[in-house]
Amino acid sequence: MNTLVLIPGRKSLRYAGFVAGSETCTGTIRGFRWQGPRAALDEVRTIVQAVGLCDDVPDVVVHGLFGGEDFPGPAALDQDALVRLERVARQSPLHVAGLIETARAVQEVFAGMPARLAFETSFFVDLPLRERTYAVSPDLSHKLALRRWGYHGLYHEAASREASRSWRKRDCAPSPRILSICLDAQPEIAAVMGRRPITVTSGATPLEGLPGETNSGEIDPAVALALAGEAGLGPEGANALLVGESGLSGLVGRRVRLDDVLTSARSECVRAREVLLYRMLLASGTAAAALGGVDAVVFSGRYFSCSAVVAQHVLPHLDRAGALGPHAGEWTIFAKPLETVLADTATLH
Amino acid sequence: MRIIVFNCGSSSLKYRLIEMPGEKELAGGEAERVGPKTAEPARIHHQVSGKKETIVVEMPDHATAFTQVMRLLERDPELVPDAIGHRMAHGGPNFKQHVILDDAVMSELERIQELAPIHNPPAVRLVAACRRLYPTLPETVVFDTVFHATIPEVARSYALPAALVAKYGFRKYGFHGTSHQYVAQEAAKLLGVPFEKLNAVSCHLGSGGASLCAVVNGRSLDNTMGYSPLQGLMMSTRSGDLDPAVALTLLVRAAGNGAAVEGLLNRKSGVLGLSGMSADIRDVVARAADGGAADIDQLAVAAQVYLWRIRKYLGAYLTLVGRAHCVIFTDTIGEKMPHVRWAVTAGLQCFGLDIDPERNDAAIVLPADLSTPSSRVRILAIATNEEMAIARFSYDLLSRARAERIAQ
Repeated sequence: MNTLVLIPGRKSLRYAGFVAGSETCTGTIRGFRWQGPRAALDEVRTIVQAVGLCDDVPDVVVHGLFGGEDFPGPAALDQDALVRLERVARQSPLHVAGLIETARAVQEVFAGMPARLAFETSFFVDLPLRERTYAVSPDLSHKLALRRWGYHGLYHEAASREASRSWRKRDCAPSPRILSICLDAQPEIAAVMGRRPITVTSGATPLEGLPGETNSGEIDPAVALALAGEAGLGPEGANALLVGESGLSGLVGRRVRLDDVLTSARSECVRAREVLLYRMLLASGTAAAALGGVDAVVFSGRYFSCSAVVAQHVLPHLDRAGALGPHAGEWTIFAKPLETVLADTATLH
Repeated sequence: MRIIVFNCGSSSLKYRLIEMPGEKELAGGEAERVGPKTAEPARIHHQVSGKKETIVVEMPDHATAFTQVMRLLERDPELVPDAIGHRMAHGGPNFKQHVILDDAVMSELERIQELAPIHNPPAVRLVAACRRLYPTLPETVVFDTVFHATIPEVARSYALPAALVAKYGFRKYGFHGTSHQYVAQEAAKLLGVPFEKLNAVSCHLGSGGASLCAVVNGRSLDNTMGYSPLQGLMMSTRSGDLDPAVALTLLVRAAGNGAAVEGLLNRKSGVLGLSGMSADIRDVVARAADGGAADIDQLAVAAQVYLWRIRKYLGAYLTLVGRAHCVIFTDTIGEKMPHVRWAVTAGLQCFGLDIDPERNDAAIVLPADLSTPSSRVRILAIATNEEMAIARFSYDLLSRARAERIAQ
């Protein structure tokens, strides 16, 4: 079976073609937004046709960040899905509006090919009520469609699935308690009971939680209000600062990547690394309490190669507190890139 | 030395007169409805040696309340204070120790009072009134933030641009420090561990505010509250942790009215906002348990979210502390609600916590050990006594100052 994976971003479109499960081509189309998705997708079609991907009609998988409760799993890209996306757009206008535009262009450019949407939030649709609820009035939550989400559900789900599989080989307990640590530009930690997420560090938006490359992560809400008011940035300016100029880059004082911060010996990175690892330690303890202990630890994400740095900091603390099961110290890595995870959704669901 | 300790709320003034160093409580009480007139008259509940009386008297401000309290005490020469100890919620970045009041302290208190706009301004006005009306009485100021001055930079830093942090001072301060320190010291005595060696998680669960504190070697390593008391656990009327993007969305909806959003998140959220019924978690748990309320699901959700947040932070801090000697529950909810203590610790044997349901339910006289004999980490309920803690700090400060004067 052939699969074409499309990952639309803010500025670029990533694509990957798989023939019989093997990646045959991959790349990025720059200027995706300003030239419009149609032109970028035409370019992708030309590339994948040249490598023979379309000789056998491929499944097209389109990545979405936010699908809300309307998308509890991957869904066929059809009229019904577009109607549901329009509904979801009210909750996450920036992300979803761009996705709708891309999805319509996919229908045109890849007409006749079965296409599906796969969302990062789907894994977290059934997050327990006590975890997903904010302590504000239910009316307000309803009006704003306010609840906690995770934004690396595809990694967490695939990594947990693999960790569960490994666990079952060595133990008969059906549902291992998994600490899933996704090392991406916006890192995220989830507690997963077997296949079900119990907690996650992100919030209503990806801004809450761990500090990312440019995201502040969790701060006192009063600080957000002070940035908008006392600092004179206004709500939009404060949001732009918290999303785009804070986090690890804010701490270091220049734009940095997560792997730089986790591995660099440069002094300006050391403090940012300490802040990140400290927050990861607390989040791991939170996950351990939510699960009642940890049987397995699995790392995933674009920067999985930095797993050892995090493991060496976090796991001894969990162990000393007594929260690690007998095999959890033998942490594992789920090394597949997002493109492959998305391609796998075509066969798994 | 007789020290009168004042704990100033926005519309109340609690006081205790304590003989030090014997720690004997001589008198105490509370002035209620201080400020503008309300439906019921302002009054002082005053107590001396178990005898209670209520005095109805107009108290348009804390200075008047203070004067009235002093008049009540001055009826008996044995109850005239030798010194005044004040509780101050926020000490800002510069007060890393409790202090004896002088001109410099006064001016710094006035400068930083907007860091805690609900708590500090009335307390600062009270300090000023005490100075003006009783200029010869020494005064001390004990800050809730001082115990947290040891929180390391890595834990107190927000991931924000350095220039912004330098300009506006955004950082974690932590609160309830006086209570956390007091119960941690009491726990150390109870367990026979030197305080400088105590590792613990202290859970100050008040009927209003609430926070957890990670204590390592007798020092605060982290506290769930942040730059302000809004961050952290779900509280009676405060939302606790909230996606900052949501706070900004609310600000847009409020047409930029920051005070309205702060009011919403500080006074209409938390247990009150989520339950829609009461700001007191005791009411919510009771109604959710008896099943009689029509909106039972919402009450159950409010109770679950409240307990879940405590449990999550408990796990985070137990991981941070490592080998903890104990988990301490204190203040109104922590001392009086066995259900809360049980719900947040049950199933955490992986962290060495094994609560004994019978001991937990029976714990009325405090301090009490609620854990099974085999529990690696002791689970304790200890009554907080912030006024006593303030009296101790004040006595130490004043005694040291006197000794220094004599030495000179």
